[in-house]
This record gives sequence, structure tokens and C-alpha cells, in this order.
Amino acid sequence: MDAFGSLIAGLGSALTPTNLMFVFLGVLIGTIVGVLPGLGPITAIALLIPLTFGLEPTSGLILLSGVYYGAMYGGSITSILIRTPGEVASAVTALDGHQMAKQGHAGPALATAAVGSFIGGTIAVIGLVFLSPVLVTVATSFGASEYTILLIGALALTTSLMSGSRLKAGISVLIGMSFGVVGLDPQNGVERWTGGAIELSDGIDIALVAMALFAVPEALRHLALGDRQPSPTMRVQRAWMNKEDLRRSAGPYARGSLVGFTAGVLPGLGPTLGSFASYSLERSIARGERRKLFGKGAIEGVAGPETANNAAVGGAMVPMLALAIPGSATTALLLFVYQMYGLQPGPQLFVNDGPLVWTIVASMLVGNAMLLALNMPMVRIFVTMLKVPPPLLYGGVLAFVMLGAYALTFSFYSLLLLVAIGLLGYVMHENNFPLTPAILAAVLLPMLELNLRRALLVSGGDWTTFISRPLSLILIIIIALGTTVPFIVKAIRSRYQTAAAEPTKIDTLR
Amino acid sequence: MKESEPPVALKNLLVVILLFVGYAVAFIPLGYVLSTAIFLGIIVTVIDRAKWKRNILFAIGFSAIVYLSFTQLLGVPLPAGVLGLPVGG
Repeated sequence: MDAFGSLIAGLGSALTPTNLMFVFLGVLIGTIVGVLPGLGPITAIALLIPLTFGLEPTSGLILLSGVYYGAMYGGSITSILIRTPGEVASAVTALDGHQMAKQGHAGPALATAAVGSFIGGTIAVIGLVFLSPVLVTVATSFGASEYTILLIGALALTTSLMSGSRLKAGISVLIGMSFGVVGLDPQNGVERWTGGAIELSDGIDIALVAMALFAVPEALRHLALGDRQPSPTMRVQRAWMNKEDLRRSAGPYARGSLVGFTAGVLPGLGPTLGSFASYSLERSIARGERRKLFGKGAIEGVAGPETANNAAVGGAMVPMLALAIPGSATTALLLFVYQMYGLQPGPQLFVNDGPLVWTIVASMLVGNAMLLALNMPMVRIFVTMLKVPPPLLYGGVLAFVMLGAYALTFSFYSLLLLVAIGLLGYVMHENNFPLTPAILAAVLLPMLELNLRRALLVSGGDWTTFISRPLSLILIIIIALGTTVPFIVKAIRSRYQTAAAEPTKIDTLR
Repeated sequence: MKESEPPVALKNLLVVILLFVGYAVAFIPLGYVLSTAIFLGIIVTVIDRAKWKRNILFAIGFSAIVYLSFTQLLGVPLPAGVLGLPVGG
């Protein structure tokens, strides 16, 4: 069956009442958690993992995928209304979205974001439907050595294109890898870094690492700051987008979908790069008066990045499903969830569990439409979430992650690990270490190890297998170019363009 | 983004961390409801002393509602601890 036919079949099973309910629950919970200041999709999913243990794989995955894009959308509400996005990808929306809200256009800004999320999400699913079978076909010719190279490439890309310090991103990767090392050696059962503790022999749960790195530092920080009152919220009037808004947003929607999807497919980058790239693109093609509006409430600056943001979610699912190589921290966590249900993403998943994959993909189409429909009547209800006093909110977050950690293994070790990794995450966060590489590395390390060992086993311990296999060599060259070219381009640019550079808010954001 | 965030006072941070660690240690021996209520009650009151009535209500309400919904509705057993509450399931 071709991809399109499979999608239609998937749509059929995504529309059954049970699955519809899980889509609805997912986007609703996702939006609510995403609206809470400082909480993003990754925290939302990590917190919900213990709840999905008892569910069917299909239901659980539909629910958590819904949480993912629901939380992305919820984050944009927060960005626009109080400028405190739950994750970096929404930070760009805050630039112009918050300005629009200040000028009394909160309603249109939210509507622009909602429509953009819908368009970006929908186009990305269509892209996913057509691109993943292609990638699956390519991937079937991959052996262990190609996978090894791809995984190393994914980790290298995370560090090279991440904004901020490369060295810090590299250290973050190593920290994440060391979480992945803990536990029994998969081949000969030797205990590694367990300190003799039987509880650690299963390894460290990725959900725990995600909660500890993404929820705990944020909560500790806000509690230590001791804010009593929530940030002042803009009043949201009923105004929807007018014709002029729609006309101005059409271009950014189209470009944002493309940019976002492409960025999402690249490993390690995902939504953040997508929304930043879309914003830069919109600003650079805007002419005259329009351009001056950027940073002061340009609707294009909301429409583009928001669309890109959500298109990247679908894009990031492509390598995650087809190659088992996640494109973002959140898809890394989703990959872990698939494995938790005993499903191994990769080419085989489409063969063995085709109906399940297509049901989940189709549920994303349904969920995006539902999110748009939900947004119109309910945006005011979501906004009330912003009025929760910070001490109660972040105290509650800590109580929830403690419960989440306990529910993973029912042992004291989980609680201890949560606190320890949480404190480490706090130190990293405070010193501007990016946390995404750590979680990606923790998820990818076991796969990297498995494939590296397998490749060397096949070649009889001969390391030249990585360069003597043509496919593997091609991948090495692509990755080498991918990691060095942006660097070189930057160097050349700074040489010739220092005078022409115009520093703006977006540059200080990085 | 980080640059615009205000700095954290070390003393407050230590208090918060200490409470968080204490919560982890007390979680199983004291049980979910008691440890969570105490943790939330203290941490929220440390920040906003004036609203102690709201804080107590929140601490007890949160831990009781979460405990009941997890043990009774979702079938996730939580430590009963010294209060000897039904583990549920």
C-alpha cells in the first residue's frame, strides 16, 4: 500500500471514539501544561509517562503525541501574553507576539499563532507521510556501521549548530552519554557504574532524566527567586484575525511550514532552529516600513515562527520513526516511549507495526484540527492558568516530578537520582549549558553502542569498515560538511560583512 | 534569554534545595500525603508568609487529591506511610 493509502487507513482508526478521546485528552493536557510558564512539551510528556504505563501502545502514543503539539501551542499563548515561554522554540514568538499583545492585539496575535500551528502541523504531517517511506527505503540498505556513523553525526550536529558555546554543548553530550552508560552491559551483563546497586542495573530511566533536567531546574530557580504574584497578563479580547492580518500572514505561513519542516528533519535541531530561521527569513524579506515593525509587533514575526515551530514537530518525527534518530529533545523522549512499549522505531517499525504508525500519524492530523477548534472557545480558560501564583505552581511541579520519579520504579533510588540529576541540571542551566544535547545523548548512547559493537563484530574488529563501506563513507563526508560548513560560512561572513551587520534583539536571544 | 533573568539569592536557593532533598528522603517513610503536604506547606509559606491560610489549604488539598486520583482512579500505588492510608488499586 502506498503512503497515502496507509494514511487514509490510519485516519479510519484514529477516528474511532476511543482514539479520538485520547487525541482530545492529549491536546487538552498538553495545552494546559504548555501554558504554565516555564513548562514545555518535554516536561509535559515526562510527567505523563507514568500515567501511560497501563494504556495500549496506540492509545498511549496518541496521547503523548497530542501532548507534544498541544504543549507547543500552549507555549505560544504564554509567550504572547507574558513573554515567558516554556521552551526556547517559542522565545521567538515572544518578540513580536508580546508587542502585539501590548498594543491591544492579543486576540489577533493568538489567532495568528493558532492558525499557524494548524497549518504548520498539517503540512508537516503530509511531509512526514511522503518523506518517511523514502527514508525507510534508504535506511533498509543501512548496516550497523552506517547507523553508527549516523548516530555520531546526530550528536555532532547537536553540538555544532546549537546556539551558544560549542564546548558546553559538547560537555552536555558527554554528561548525557554517561547517563546512558549506567546499567548492565547489553552484551556480557557486566555492571557498569552501578556502584553495586541492583536498582541501577536496569539503567537510568530517560523519563527521569528529562524531568530532572527540564522541570527541576526551572522550578528550583523560580522558587528561589520567590515571586509571589504571577506576571501581569494581557487582557484577551474576542478579536480574531481580520482580512489584512490573514493576507499578511499567508506568506509567512507557507515559508514557515517549509523552513520548520526541513529544520525538524535535521537531527538535534528541531523546532528551535526552525522558528529562529523562519523569523530571520521573514525579517530579511520584509521591505521598507514592514521591516521596521519587526520587534515592535509585526504579525509576520508571529505567523512565521509559530508555523515553523509546529511544522518542525512533524519534521522531527520523520527521522525518529524511520531511523530511530530523534530530531529534538522531545522526540528523543518519545523514542524512549516507543521502546518502553516494546516498539523499536526504524524501518522495521513500518513493516511490523504499519497500522499503529499510521494511526498515530493520522491522529496528529486530527489533533491539529482539534487544537484549532479548541482554541477558539477555550483560549480564555487556558489564560486563567497564567494566574496561578508561582510558589504554588512550582511547588506543585516539584511534587509532581517526585511522584513521577517514584512511579517509574517505586524505589528510593529514583527519588535520589531525580534530586541528584536535578541539581546537576540546575548547575548546567545556570551556567548556560544547553540541556537538549544531554537528553539526546542519553537516548542515543545505547543505540550507538549496540551498532558500533555490531559493526565491529561483522568486520572482525576492523575499524576501517567505516570508511571502506561506500555508504558509510558518503555519510561521513556529508556529516563532516554539515558540521564544518556553517562554521566556515560564519567565518567568511564575519570577515566581509562586519559593517553591514545590524544587531537586533534576535541576536541577543541566541 | 538567560541574560535577562534575574540572579538567584544563594540563601533562598539553599533553603529550596534543602526542602527538596528532605522531601525525597521523607517521601517513602512518611508516605505520600504527609510528606507532600509538609513539603508544599513549608516551601510555599517560606515564599509567601502572609497567605498562610491559603498555603495550608493548598498543601493539604493538593496532596489529598493527587493521592486519591492516583491510587483510586489510575491504580498507581503510592507510599501510604505513617498515616496508614489505603494503598488503593
